[in-house]
Amino acid sequence: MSEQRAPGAPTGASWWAAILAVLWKDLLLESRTREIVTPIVVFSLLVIVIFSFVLDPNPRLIESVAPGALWVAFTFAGILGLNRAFALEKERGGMEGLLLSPVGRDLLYFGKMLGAFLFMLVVEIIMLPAFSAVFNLPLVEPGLWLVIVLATFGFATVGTAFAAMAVNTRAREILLPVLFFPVAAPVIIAAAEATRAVYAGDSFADYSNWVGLIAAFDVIFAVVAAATFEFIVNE
Amino acid sequence: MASTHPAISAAGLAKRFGNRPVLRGLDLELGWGSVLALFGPNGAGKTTLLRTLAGLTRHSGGALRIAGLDIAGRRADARHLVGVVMHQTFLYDDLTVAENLRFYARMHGLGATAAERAASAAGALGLDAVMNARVRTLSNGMQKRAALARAVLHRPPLLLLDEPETGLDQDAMLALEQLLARHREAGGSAIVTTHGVEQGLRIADRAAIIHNGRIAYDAPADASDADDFRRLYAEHTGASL
Amino acid sequence: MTLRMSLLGLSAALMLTALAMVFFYAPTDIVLGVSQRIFYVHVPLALVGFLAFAVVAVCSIGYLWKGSERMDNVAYAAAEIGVLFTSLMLITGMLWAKPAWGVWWSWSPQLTTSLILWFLYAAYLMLRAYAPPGETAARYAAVLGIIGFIDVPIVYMAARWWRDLHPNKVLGPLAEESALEPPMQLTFLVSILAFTALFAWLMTERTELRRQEIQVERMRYIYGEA
Repeated sequence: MSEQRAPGAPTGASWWAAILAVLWKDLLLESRTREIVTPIVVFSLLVIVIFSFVLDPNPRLIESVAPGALWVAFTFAGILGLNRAFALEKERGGMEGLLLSPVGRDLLYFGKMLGAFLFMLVVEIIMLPAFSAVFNLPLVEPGLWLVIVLATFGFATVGTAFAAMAVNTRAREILLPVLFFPVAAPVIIAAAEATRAVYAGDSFADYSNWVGLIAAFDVIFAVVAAATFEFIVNE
Repeated sequence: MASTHPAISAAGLAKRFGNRPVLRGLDLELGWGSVLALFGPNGAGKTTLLRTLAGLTRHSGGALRIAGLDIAGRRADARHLVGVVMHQTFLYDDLTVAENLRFYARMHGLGATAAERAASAAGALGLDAVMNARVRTLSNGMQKRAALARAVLHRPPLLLLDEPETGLDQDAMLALEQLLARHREAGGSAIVTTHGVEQGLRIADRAAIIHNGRIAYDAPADASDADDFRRLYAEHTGASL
Repeated sequence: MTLRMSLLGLSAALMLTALAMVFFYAPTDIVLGVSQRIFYVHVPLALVGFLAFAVVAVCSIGYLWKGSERMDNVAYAAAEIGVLFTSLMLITGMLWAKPAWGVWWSWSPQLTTSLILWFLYAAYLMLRAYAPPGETAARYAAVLGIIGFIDVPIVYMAARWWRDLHPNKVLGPLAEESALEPPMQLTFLVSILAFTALFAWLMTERTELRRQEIQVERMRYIYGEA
């Protein structure tokens, strides 16, 4: 059922041109509307503020709960971003416009996935200084940035596939997290544990197994989601 | 572009949504240089047929070839050959007309000539003045023209237009008729679904009626016989036009 | 029909045998006491539940590959029964944990993985219920069935390392299992067979029922009732 091409037939955009075209389109739209990054940053800052309200301000306690709080805020932000990424395709039948294009569905997947990844990353880059300031934690930790980039990519891999499904279902806003959280659970656990290790001042070797687990998740699900994307979007 | 194969060849085409059958063994053949006006009551399967031809919907039974390409295995290639206008514009509201057209041109692999293609498609439909306006700010008629420009951007030999007259003003309708006439002269084909009898019979050289997921009537179109056609339509569908 | 009846008979006979063995044949565990007997239900439920999810994954691949509706019916039935068995497994586990450990729940790797599995396949059933009916729901569910199953070993790895960082204060049940006496092993075996037969019988019933549901709905369109 995969989409074969005939030799000599007119071809669509080359793979990188198609991915870049979708990505460029999403970035341009976002720069116009600010419907994803701005509201989600505000939402995430609120989550951090609420955490500081409900958590005991004892510095030793903060150190143990801060990694969890950070990843709760990031996953909620991620879910909101993923919901928006496909809602905007749905509004004027944009998704069908994409589907009419003679490019492989896996390329559409990578275009949408990279867009979702970048939006989440931008939100996190804005949030992290605020988070570090509120909880009095170090900001410049290369290990932490590595964990954030890899985990966010992992969220985007499965999240994009599930968002493309959820957008066509009833109760889509609630269905996306219900689909997303169990599958992304290992990434959430690994990211929180690695963050805890970074804040505790451990060396990279102490949490490299978590980084490896997230990286493996990224690779496996980028491939699986790209390969199955045509079954999600093609009627 | 026209090949020795017919533009469309569908045999026993079937499509179910859930358990509801919409197309029930539809047969249709369309040669090159021909425009087919397709009439039918709501729910008869017009839109589903066009969506299946466009590769947006996978058929559940029968055989379908676009220019000889079996669409079940060669959907990516078949997508090059069709230009589609549906009720939705498939345009992004917050991008300008030019940006939308350039985006779709790039998706069709027209990277180097994307801007040029976008401009020429827009010019043919009288969109020059609004190229840099966001789609959101345009009137419905202008949006529809932009959707038409998007559909013809990659110069597809087969056009599928689902009730293109909705939202089009007089001028735009004239532009569409001219576009279709040029398309046909160049050897291209089109299927146009419509509710307007006179208009449909004028732009087409063939008229068909779809009812209950099958082609119930199919004959050369004659614009002078609109009343006859209305009578035929009532006979075949039990509805009126 | 005969296959279904014989599976029903087989699972009933095996289930009764297993019950008798659990209460009258298997010796009482020296360390864990009488409550250990719930394992004869708990462990087979876990194993067969996992088997059900494997069936979901295999049939999901089969469905996307061949587009056969039958494959999809089997996957759907297996997911339903898998969620049922996993729910019962979690409940029996908690019933045992309270008297044995003094807590209803512990985040052992097995429990954590089972719980996430339960959520995964509950989400599978929700997806089927909320997606557009027919082919679309089947395709979405098949993709989730594949992604979910690939996720299981990753979840288990994460749960294991996670537990290493948070050592459990209570002892896991699996530490003792290597020292099972032969009568206990035999009871486990019969019980596992009984639950496997029960699963097979429920699968045939549910798949057939689903096939009939679809047929009824199709006929309704043919005879113009809907």
